[in-house]
Amino acid sequence: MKYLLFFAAPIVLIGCGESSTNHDHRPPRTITATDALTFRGADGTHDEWPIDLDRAIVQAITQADDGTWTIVPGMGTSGGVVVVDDVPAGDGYLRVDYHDSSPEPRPRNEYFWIGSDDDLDLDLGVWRAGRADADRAWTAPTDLQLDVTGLSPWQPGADLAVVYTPNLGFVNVFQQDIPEAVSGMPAASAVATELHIDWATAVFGPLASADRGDRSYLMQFRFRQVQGVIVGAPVRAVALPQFDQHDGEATVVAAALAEPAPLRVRLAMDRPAFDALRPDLGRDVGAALGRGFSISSSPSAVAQEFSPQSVPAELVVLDDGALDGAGPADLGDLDVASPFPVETVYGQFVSVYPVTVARDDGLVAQAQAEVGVITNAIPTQAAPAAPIIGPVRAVTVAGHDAASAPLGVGLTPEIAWQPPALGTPVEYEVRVLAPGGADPTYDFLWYPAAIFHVPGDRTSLTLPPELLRPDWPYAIAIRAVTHALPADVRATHPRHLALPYGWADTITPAFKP
Amino acid sequence: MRTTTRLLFATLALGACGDNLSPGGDGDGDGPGPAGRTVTGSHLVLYKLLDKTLLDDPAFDMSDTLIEGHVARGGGWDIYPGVGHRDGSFEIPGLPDGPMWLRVATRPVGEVFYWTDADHVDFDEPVLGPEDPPRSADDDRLNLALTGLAPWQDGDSIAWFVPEDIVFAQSLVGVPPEPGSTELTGTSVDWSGRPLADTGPGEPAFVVQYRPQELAPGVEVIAPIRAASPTMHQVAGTTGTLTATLAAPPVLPYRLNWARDAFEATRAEIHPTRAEASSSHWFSVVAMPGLVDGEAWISVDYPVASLVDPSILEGTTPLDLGELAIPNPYPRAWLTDSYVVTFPVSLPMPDGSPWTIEAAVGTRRTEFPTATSPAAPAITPIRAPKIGWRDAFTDLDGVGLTPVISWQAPATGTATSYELTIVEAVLDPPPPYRPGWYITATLVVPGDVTSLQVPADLLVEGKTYAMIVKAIAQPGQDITTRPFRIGGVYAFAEAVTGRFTP
Repeated sequence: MKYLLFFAAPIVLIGCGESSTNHDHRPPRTITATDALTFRGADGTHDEWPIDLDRAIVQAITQADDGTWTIVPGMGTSGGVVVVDDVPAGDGYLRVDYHDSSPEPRPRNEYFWIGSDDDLDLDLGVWRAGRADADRAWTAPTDLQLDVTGLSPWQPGADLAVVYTPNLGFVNVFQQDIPEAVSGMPAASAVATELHIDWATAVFGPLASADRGDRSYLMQFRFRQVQGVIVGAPVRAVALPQFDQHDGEATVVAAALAEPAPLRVRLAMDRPAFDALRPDLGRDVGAALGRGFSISSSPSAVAQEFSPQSVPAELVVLDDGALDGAGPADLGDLDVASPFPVETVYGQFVSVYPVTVARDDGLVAQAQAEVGVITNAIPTQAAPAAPIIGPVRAVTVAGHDAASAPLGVGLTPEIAWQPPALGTPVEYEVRVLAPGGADPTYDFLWYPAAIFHVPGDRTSLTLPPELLRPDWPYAIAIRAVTHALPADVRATHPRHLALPYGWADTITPAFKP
Repeated sequence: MRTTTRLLFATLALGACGDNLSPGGDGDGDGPGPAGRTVTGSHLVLYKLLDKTLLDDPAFDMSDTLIEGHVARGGGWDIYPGVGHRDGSFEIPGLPDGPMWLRVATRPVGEVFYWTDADHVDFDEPVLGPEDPPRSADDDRLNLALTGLAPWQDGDSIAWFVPEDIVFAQSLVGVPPEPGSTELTGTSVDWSGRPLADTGPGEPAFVVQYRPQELAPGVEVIAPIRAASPTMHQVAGTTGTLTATLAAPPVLPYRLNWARDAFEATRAEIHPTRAEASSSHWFSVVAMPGLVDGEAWISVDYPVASLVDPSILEGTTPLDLGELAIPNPYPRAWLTDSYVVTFPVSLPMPDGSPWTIEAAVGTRRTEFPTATSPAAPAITPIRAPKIGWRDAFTDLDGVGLTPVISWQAPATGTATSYELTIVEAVLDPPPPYRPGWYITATLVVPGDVTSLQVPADLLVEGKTYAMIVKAIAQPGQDITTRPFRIGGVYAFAEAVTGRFTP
């Protein structure tokens, strides 16, 4: 653990080829940040798991009016704290290059906007609902006996029993008896059963505690044909009475399933509204190769804050390929037996398009551009699932049309764009895609070498030095993002969001410095 | 700059040599440190010819390497962040005068701390030959027109080495000639994509016929028996021909005289109770074309003498196999011999499960043994290691997170540096890794330092560690300014501590 006491540390100015000049005499400032995964328990507890930043590269990068770059080194700690002292006032980015020794090509080099004259404290963390301190079942049997009544006549092969405990981040699906693990799955047409689940053998599950606010739900989930499409949704459900589980002990719970007041969902997607955005997704973009449509319940209300990291309960799922094709898609209304508060329910709708991005060595990759939305506005006949933001337009690299795959743009080109025609972006995520294979860490055609979080009121980004390499090809992927978190919260919590949340990608052809 | 506020957990009696301990202070860690110098560094890969002509010097990308300076103050550590660049350079500004830990954490793995007071630290690495030599085209072949061979026998092989062109073919012939044949002609080998030889008169190039030979009574050695230094200008897209008439090379008299007992005697210094009897002995004579003015550049070694049956080396008593008459076509200035003895050291995991690591004592030399001067350790292990005031050969609990480690210099030899590798016992690593001892970090200090304080953030409460302390004797070594430079003459001896917990 590094202890962070402040000193009158020297300003560190590292020019890009020439000495730095900062003529405006504004005092330097300090940028701090924390990064952690926080578990928000139902009993109000917050359990923070700091991200180990001891080996992260931490820098503040600013550019003076005369174009001179300043790189100020900072430091991260194993406790998830970042500090950079003596950062010149004005626009800039905080670079956190996360140490990652795994060979996975996941983003690891992120740049967060720090445009201000003042000290700034960023919360780079994310949160998820639930607690992380549950004991687990080790001893077999640790029987959970569910005395199930009120089933819709059971349809083997079509019906599933779903147990969901949001505060434990736990969901599991049972379809048939499993020797020494699960017994008592309902027989055909049964409306009641005594279901036994060995919490140790079947699921190695976390043990529920009523004192900690753990609530569990049981759903009878059924797949059925709707206009030729297989659709899954609960037909019976119940919020179980709270109970305690102990390792090696049996627990008996009454599970009286019922038909809650139905949640009506229109299985409708405005595919033309998604496809209309396609021309701006990239130069070489194909027809939609896949679409997603799902309705879920989050462990907590989604309108104020939404956590993609939380484990949801699925309420409506569609068969793969159900929404392939073009033109309006409408399968009609579906009544869902949801046991969850309506303020926790949200829908996720996405269209995915292939974008061809060729490398100068002849290798061709199919990147995927997405247009998507996560919203608490459930589709209706009048308002089917539709995008709420479109892709950026007219991307340029150092003033050249990005679609022309320009060469010789320099090592610090300005990337510029026009805002989307649809929606109001609150942020642009600008990914610099570098060729894999030349980097021993990765073996993919393209990987995101850097991600810049650019405020939504800006439409350009000048890439800083030390990012691009001479003679390498690069492509740019810009994701326009909109969501409902207030601007003042967004400014200091760049990874938090609220619904409705929408995104749309644009991916350029490759260019070279 | 940031600081740690940990106090030294005890006042320590220091050894007579240097240390890296804090000069003192009030320990509150809240006053401004003197802002001063900028330490710079570089990491270039220097591709050179034997006459030291620099062919290219590409940078090792330092932009994603973590660079920090850790300066002892007031019983804790002030930490100064640095910046690494794509061009291989780095700097840490605002440092006070005096020594520091230079932390260099490369990716995806690597965590090394160098104790240095230099203003510039050079991590440059010399390499013999070009980075990307000219190569032949697909389907190019190399014809062989070799005469003057010793009558071919089973076990013979032909090698083709051109050090400055990165041509390295240790077993050139797939289909051997008929037994007794003294020619290898009319045959060719696939040379697709391989480096092209381009040598003129006097430039180093070697075609060598190797053979297992009895070079002393009862001592069978794989060594050259015929050799030549041909010229060749190989062109991509064509079939080249390697033409040479081989002849018996000059004889190198070599006394294989090994003071195995002297190596074995280091066992108690490796660890007084946990080091077992030696488990293996290694010997070889090689030609190092990259051995230039005493410095070992990165290059490939050429075999000169290796035993057909290495088991004759096993034992703990003095071993004198007599004088080997080794046919040697390589320049004497390239020749080195190596003697390494390995000892198993029992280091159980914290749960008691058995685990053994290996420690070694070895030497590489350019001056060879004689009848009266057998090969012996040029340096022996450190002595009396301590963590805090306690004997580090025992298992220790509660040593603190930044303990002071001290030791006495080796009884034999003069250390030019020490490498302390801290290893952690990991019982449940993520798949696919297996339980065992994993390296946490390596601390490198000059040979005149015999006590140090562990930097901040290395040790973690609740974990179990041990340490391998390597004493190194390398003429001309200076880890404070050029830590990556390796000498042709190099000796090392390892000691292993007991287990300890913070």
